[in-house]
Amino acid sequence: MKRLFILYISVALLLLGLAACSSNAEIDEDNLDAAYASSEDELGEEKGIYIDEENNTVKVYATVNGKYLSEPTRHGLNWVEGNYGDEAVFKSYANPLSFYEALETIGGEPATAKGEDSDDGFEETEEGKVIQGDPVNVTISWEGAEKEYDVNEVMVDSTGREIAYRYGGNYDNAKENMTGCFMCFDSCPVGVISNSAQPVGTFDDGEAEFHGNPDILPEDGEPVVVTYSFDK
Amino acid sequence: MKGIVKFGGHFLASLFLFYVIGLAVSLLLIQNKWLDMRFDSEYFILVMMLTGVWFYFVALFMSASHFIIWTRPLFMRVILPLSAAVIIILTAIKSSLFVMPAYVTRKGLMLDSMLTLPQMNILILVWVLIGLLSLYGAARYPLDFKKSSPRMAWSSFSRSSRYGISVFFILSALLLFVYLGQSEMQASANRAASALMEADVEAFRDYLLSFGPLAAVVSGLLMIFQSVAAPLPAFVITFANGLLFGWFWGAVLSWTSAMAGAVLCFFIAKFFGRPLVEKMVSKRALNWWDRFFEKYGKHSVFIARLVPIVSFDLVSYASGVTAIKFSHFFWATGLGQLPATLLYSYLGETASGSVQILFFVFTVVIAIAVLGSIIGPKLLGEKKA
Repeated sequence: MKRLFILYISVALLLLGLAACSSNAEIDEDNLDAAYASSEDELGEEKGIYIDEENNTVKVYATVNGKYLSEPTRHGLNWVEGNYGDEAVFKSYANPLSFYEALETIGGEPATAKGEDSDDGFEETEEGKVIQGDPVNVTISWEGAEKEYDVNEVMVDSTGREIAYRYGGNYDNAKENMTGCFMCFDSCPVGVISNSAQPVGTFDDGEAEFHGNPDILPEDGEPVVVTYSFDK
Repeated sequence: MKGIVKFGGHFLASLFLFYVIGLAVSLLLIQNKWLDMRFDSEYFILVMMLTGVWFYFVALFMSASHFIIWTRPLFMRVILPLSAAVIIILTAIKSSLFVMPAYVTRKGLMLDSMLTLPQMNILILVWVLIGLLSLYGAARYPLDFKKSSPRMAWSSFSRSSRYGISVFFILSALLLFVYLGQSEMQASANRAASALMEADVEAFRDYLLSFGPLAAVVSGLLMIFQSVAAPLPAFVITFANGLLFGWFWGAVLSWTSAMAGAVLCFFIAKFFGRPLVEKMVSKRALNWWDRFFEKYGKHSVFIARLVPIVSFDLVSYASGVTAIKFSHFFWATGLGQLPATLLYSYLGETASGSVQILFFVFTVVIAIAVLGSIIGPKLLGEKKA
């Protein structure tokens, strides 16, 4: 009994120690550039975003999350250290605030800029609230891919609608909630970009399900590069 | 050698049974997409395997034969095949037989950064073979308990103690599951633990503030929690309450919640009895309390509460197994903790973080000096005698 109790207390103290020592996700806002690679070749877990100013694109390094090639999710791409880092089809290693800044650098105009109220970033439609902001082109490639795939070729919306990403922005909400959301499958007040083809709450209301396309995307853990651009 | 193989076989059989059930339940939970977006059900595997370890050690060291569920027909012929069927059906429907079990196991056992899914699949295959062999061996060669001490036997505990220990384990397992599975709660718990362990009063105040109108409730619950289970410094909570709610309301909140924690400890001790309290606060500490109680009688709780270096939890638990009336314990605790509560709340409201800590250190040093001068020589004298 004593041995058991010592074991129990040791485990409890270990967990407590882990809780105290493990760092919660924090973003150094004064150092958002730290996530930027200086070239596409440098893209990786350390430097997760590359701003290609010549071609006006932002490239994000990510890995495939095999779970969401078969299970439904509302997250397209999330920062691994965010609260929902494991709930997306793609895992990013750079934070969403750096991503926000990168999209702004290539000329994107968010629906909700830094310091603005995210409620103003939506349009009320018959279906519900739909995200605004500049439309974003999203393509995905990986080593050995046959071509640069459009997001609609590698993601599946159960309603058959085409995903239409927009630059929602939501800098302040992303910072406050730390969900880690880069790219959501329905309109979202937290994700930096989200899908204007589906109003807020579509997934939670059970009206649509989304997942990665297992017939096209590489296997779990494989790296991909997601490219973002604006029609400007 | 034969004994090691037998005991090892039972251990693996227990782990395997709980692993299969854990995997099946995890996969079922993942089917709920609302839950899956908010909770990492994969950790249920880890919790179940720890439960398997617990069952095994309780069976082995406490001669609790009915804990050996891995040899029972109900589990072997019904629960295990049913769990396996759930796993196969759920993954076959979505063509993810070689993805989801490996993914869920890898994440549940925190091996994400170490193994790829194909490597995990090979490990699972080996594990299934070892597990099935162990189950077969365990059924054929039952454990014997000849060497177990009768004093430690599970059956020697009272019925209420047995239920109490089981409920304690279940609650701990649930807490662990929620902590691991819910990222936001985990982040929140980490922040609280970090602020308390670093004695960072202002960080803890900010933490409480993040709960808005529920700040007082969270503070109260944390005070009760630290009283019962966690070796966290309560004075940080008292300081932060003073800082956040002002000295008066801060003191009211700290005093009330500390009282609730003390009362809970008192009744836990009464419920489980002396053997378990001995294990919780150590036999040495309980002996010290016995001597203290012998010397100061009904005033012992009051005196102990006045001296900040005497563990609050020790006094609460130890009182529960001493001949102290609850009403006396209650009033002695209430009055005894009042000066320190008022002082810390006042300091919390008026002093800055570093000054607060200095005051605390100062208080402790004074208390040690006073206590040492009163009790030290007598204790030393007792030892010499």
